[in-house]
Amino acid sequence: MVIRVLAPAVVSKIAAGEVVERPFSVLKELVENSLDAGSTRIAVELEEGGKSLLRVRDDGKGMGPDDLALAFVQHATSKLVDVDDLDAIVSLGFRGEALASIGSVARARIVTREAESASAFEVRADAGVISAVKPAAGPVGTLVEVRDLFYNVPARRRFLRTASAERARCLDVLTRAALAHCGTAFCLEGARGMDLHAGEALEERVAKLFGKELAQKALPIDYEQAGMRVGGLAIDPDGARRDRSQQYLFVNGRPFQDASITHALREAYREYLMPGKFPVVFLFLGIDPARVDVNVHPTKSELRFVEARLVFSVVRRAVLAALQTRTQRVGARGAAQFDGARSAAAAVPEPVTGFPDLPRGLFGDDGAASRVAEARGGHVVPAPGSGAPAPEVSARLQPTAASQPVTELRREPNPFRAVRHFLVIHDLYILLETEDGFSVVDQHALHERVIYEKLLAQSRSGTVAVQRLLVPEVLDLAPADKEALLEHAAALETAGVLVRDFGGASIKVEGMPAALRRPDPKALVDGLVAELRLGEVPREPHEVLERLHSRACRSAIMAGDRLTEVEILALLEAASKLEHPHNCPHGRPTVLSYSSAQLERYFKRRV
Amino acid sequence: MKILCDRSRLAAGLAPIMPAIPVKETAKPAMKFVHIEAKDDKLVLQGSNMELSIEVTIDSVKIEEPGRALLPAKTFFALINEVTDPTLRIEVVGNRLTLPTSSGKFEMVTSSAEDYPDLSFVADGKGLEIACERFAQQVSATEFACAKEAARYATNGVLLSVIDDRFATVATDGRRLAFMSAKCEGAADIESGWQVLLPHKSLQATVRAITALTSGQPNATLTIFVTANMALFVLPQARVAMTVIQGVFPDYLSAIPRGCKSYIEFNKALLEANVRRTTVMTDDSNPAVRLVFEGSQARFSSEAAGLGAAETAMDVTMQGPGGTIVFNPAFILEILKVSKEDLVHFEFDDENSPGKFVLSADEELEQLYVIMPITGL
Ligand SMILES: Nc1ncnc2c1ncn2[C@@H]1O[C@H](COP(=O)(O)OP(=O)(O)OP(=O)(O)O)[C@@H](O)[C@H]1O
Ligand SMILES: [Mg+2]
Repeated sequence: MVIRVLAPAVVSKIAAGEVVERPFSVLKELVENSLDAGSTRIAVELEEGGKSLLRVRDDGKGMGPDDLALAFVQHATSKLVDVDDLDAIVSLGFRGEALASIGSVARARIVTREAESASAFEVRADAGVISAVKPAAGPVGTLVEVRDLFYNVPARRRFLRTASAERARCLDVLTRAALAHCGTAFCLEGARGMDLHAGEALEERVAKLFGKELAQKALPIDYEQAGMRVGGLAIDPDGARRDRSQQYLFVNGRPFQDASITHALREAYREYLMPGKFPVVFLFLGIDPARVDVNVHPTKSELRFVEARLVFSVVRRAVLAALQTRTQRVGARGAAQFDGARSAAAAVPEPVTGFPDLPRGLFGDDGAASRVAEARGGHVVPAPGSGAPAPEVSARLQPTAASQPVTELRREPNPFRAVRHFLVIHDLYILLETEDGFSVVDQHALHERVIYEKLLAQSRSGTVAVQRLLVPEVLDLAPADKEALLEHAAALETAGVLVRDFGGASIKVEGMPAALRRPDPKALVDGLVAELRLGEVPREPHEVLERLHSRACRSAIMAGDRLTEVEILALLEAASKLEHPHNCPHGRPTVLSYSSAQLERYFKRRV
Repeated sequence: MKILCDRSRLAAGLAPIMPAIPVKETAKPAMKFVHIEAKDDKLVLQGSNMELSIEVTIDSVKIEEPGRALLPAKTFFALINEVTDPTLRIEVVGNRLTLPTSSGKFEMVTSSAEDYPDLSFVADGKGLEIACERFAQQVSATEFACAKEAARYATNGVLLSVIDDRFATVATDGRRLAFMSAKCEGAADIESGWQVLLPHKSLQATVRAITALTSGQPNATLTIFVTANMALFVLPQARVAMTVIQGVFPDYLSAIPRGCKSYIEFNKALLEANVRRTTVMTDDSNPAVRLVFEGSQARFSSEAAGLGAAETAMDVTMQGPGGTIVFNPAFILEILKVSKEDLVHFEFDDENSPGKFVLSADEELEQLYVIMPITGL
């Protein structure tokens, strides 16, 4: 065996993978460099989401010919001189790695000019081959152009997503940079671009990026403790979302992610938020750089606080203080006459999502049948030998079962095929006497499942009835969310949701599936966006539909709806035809069943 | 407190208050009571669920001893309706009410009036005066179209507004809209652009109260006062206060189509029968009936997976090219339910545009309904 030193070109190609993953990571590095150069205006152009061209122009301090010659050279940086500096990093860049990495996996070009200089200079890097520095024409500042990213690394090129997906991620990068640097103008060319002026207040920027409605809900954060400053905006809890995607965290102007800060936010909002909702926060932490270690992760998106616990509690208190200003405001409003009505109206019932915890061993140790289903997708299965007839048999006994092909795979009978009597409990559960025992049904979960399967059947056959809306609902979205949603507009349309671009940060919803009892476009779009944000966007069209409809149903019904007897009968009738009756589209169980045998054993009628 | 009161007048005064009494348990137990105050020949009854408060004054009552008390609303109302003596002598001492009658004697536990909140019926600024009957008619003709969930979104309310010299009510749930406007003398005194958004449940109760209190008085009027968060209705013998919905009502005027291509005249009874028949073959996942207009015929059809299909037809008078449009039949039926005319006018452009049902288009009274079509089928 021969141990060989890898050729430098190979080394840098490997290393590039750590810094440069996709167009958005290139953009992130370039924008950071422009910010480090003190730019007041940064203009970005993307072609094919940055896959074929990514161009960043700034009006920063530029580079002289000597520095330019080193720009594409690895570990060449003007920002970090000796090792001590690593402990107190103030600039965004410090490794001297970004441009070298980019230059090794694309055709890149820099044109730059310092203010005092009479001319600009240019240097190129093509797959790691660096050209000589030549004089060129250009304004003061720096232009960096990156073409054909990964053209020399096909394995990586293959992993790039569609142009619009890449563009959406780039938008997200710009959004974060723009939030952190209100003093700098940001401009992204093209449709659904960005045009932010220098010196806007954070609120203004948030309004432009995420819509006025959100900005109006902003509560300023302004807090100082233990030598740390916390600033930014906490969005009123009623602007909360179903995911964490709108938590923008910055340390000394650098975007970052940190599980403990996310937790601190959650803690601060805890009393104000229902489970499953996440706060929207723009949080800026100012801290002595020596107290943060940013050199933890190659893309610099993670960092380590020297005093993690202290930071946690400072952030929590800062956000709590901001939220308390809200209470005062609401309190002042509510103190007027009839404040009781207001708070009563505010107490909108939340859907019940839990599953009853049954006492263990209620039906004796062998009554494993009453096992409460595992958290996900479980349902109660009659224990083998518990006296319940074999599922196939009971299914075949039912008249309705005859019209429904019983697949061999299904081991559970459809419990709704043998309903005799029912009783409604708390307008939420339906107690059924079944062929063999009884079942408790969550009417809400079951209804979701029924609507879901009907919608799915409609969309499979290509005819989803769309109820047009009288006045299209206009909604504001974060740039990346809007991009992602519109990318799926066609798939959404086949699923019964008509979404159109409405300029700026807005989209409009013109139609909703007619099967929804209570069309709530905002809830639907929020849910969809959360779904799309889960990252791995489903590629198969039917997957898009399934995800969409599982969201659609969520907005369809609420708990605590009093159903009439006719409605319950219709629901049970529909349920008897379900393909998968045991779970709602989100995996919650719909039904809990007990067999007569279990009851007999419990009441000691039979040993 | 000791009073001598005509039974039927007391019963008639209590009835309009009952819709304001909460049915379910409430955070404020006092809300389950009627507040009754005897003073200066008058009996003032109040009921409230904090969102809606109703006060009725019964005058010319013989007050032997003034005072006030909280009476359990449901029980007291039932009691007054059950006894038959024309005149009742009611006495409250401590927390006990006694009511002797010719056939026996009733006793009821009462509660301290101190526990009752001070309901404020603030009249601020200039009020809008409108005929009670017309007001009730306009609310009933539109209220059903608003969104019904128990939330306080803008579309859960009915918008009352003044447009020039007219008073208008409008409600929408985002899929259909109901609009009624009528000439209103009182509107002349009010700034054009006056508007208020009120919860439909409170309005329903108010309309019931108004109808009960002014039956047999066709010329009775009421005055509506609006403050930032309250609306107050002042009637000759009663006051109703309710919290308004804060929210932006959709820009509905632009959603009402004007001057459509096709214009159809239906016989109402036949239209209703046809829609009903075709509705049989729809289900809630596909609540759609297709209307096809061709020459002098309107055809209705529907289809539901696993259920079947329906097709019916009727003669109509039509101007224009006709065409196809699909609606949720429930929306059509709800309109027909509030229509008093034999003829229904319908206008539309094409299958993707709103359809408009016009029940009345007088100078005096304009009553119209817009339904958004169902597409994609
Ligand atoms: N837009 C720009 N304006 C002025 N100088 C720039 C610009 N972009 C890069 N440079 C110069 O080029 C050097 C190399 O940039 P590069 O991004 O590779 O490294 P870095 O920013 O120092 O650290 P890193 O990117 O690894 O975090 C920088 O230190 C800076 O001096
Ligand atoms: Mg850099």
